[in-house]
Amino acid sequence: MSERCDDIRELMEDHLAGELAPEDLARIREHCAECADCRELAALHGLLSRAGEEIPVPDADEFQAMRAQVLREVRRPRARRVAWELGRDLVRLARLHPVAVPALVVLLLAVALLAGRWSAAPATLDDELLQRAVRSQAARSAGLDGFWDAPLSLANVDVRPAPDGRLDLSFDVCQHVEMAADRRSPVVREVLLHAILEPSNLGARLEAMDLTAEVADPALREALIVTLHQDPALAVRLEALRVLARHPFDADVRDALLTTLRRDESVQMRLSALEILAGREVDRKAVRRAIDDAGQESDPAVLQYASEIGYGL
Amino acid sequence: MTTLNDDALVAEILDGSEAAFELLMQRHERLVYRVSYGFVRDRDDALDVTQEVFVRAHEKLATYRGEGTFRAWLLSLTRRASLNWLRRRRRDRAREPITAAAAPAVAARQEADLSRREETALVLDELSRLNPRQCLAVSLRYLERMPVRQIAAALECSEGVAKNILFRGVRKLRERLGTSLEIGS
Repeated sequence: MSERCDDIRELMEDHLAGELAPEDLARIREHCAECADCRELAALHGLLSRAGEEIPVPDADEFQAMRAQVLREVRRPRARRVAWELGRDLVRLARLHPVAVPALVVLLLAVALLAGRWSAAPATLDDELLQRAVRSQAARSAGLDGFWDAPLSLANVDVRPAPDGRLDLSFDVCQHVEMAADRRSPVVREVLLHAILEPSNLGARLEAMDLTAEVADPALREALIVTLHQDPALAVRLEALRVLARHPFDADVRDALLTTLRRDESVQMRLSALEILAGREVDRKAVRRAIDDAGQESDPAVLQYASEIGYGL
Repeated sequence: MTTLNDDALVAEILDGSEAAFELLMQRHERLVYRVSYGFVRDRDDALDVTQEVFVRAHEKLATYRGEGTFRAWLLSLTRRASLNWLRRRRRDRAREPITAAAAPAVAARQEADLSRREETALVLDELSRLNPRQCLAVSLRYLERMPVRQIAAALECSEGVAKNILFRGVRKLRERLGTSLEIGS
């Protein structure tokens, strides 16, 4: 045999890396002509390399679609990832300050106990939970509130036939939360804000507005002003007016009342706005202008009342 | 961003950058696909496994500590995902009636004149039957032409151990492919 098998196999390895001179390739051929073992190995190298070249590779569009699908998938479990990161941060904190994490846990437990709430949040949305949520929603729709209770509720339910004989289901799953919080809590502010601006529940709007004077937050006052100008229900607009009158009287409230006096379609609203303005230190000309701007729409009752309280022509 | 190395992209992703994650996928998707193909031997299935690997990688990215290379870490995820996929397929196939298509590759090996495509299919079939570490090592070495040093990183072992794994993998392939081999040109 012309050369040692080990040397030839090293050359084969170099060949794989594409680092082989033509004369070395000739050495491999020469050796393999005589050595069956190395011939078999060279054949295997050839087969494997060819197999690598013949693997069907998807085109760029398919890879792009795959990436888009991955991005859709990874957007979903963000809440789980946030929880994991919180855990990781706690581990780091525990390494740096061994006492800090137990102290934090005790503090959180204390807060939870004081709030009197333990979260019954489900770890995952399994089929059983979804079935209970659907049933609970159905019970609520039938006026059987509380008949079946579930920690989740459904909205925007849609069912359509799919081509393969199955059904496409589409719905939002919401988790019901009950909690007690301090009036100054940002969560309270956001929930009140939502309740005031939520069009479907008039009762909740009235109740939430009544609470804003005690919470005294600029965003809530803004929501009251929006409601005063835009809410279709007269009862709600009147309540907004009444509650705004209890808020500190500044330029924003004044302008809101003047706008109501100028534009609101209800005589009762305009009279109430005028009554509130008359009781405050407001530029008389501005009030008069607002009444004039209403023009033909100014109800005789408003004009008469304006005249009685000294805003007459 | 395209000039950032993998570790810098990982840091960006952990800060919430989707663009960085997409770039990282673009960089490695072909390798992940080809290696998973070595295991599952089906184009669509390999694409599914690739997708699964990247979703998993995103979920577990915070556990990547920058030790070794990102590619090695990704390949270890690829190996695990491919094996899980094979396990699932085996379970599904156990429920299916046996068909001619499911007949063992041994029968095909007895054919005197294997066409090139059949030959490739046979090699990949036997490759996928190696144990997982050997399959990964041989795939990276021969299908991807990856240097032994990088294979060692992917297998999380020394270069010497990686060479042994490769040697045993190739020897087993030779035994199994046996008589159907002919010297390549």
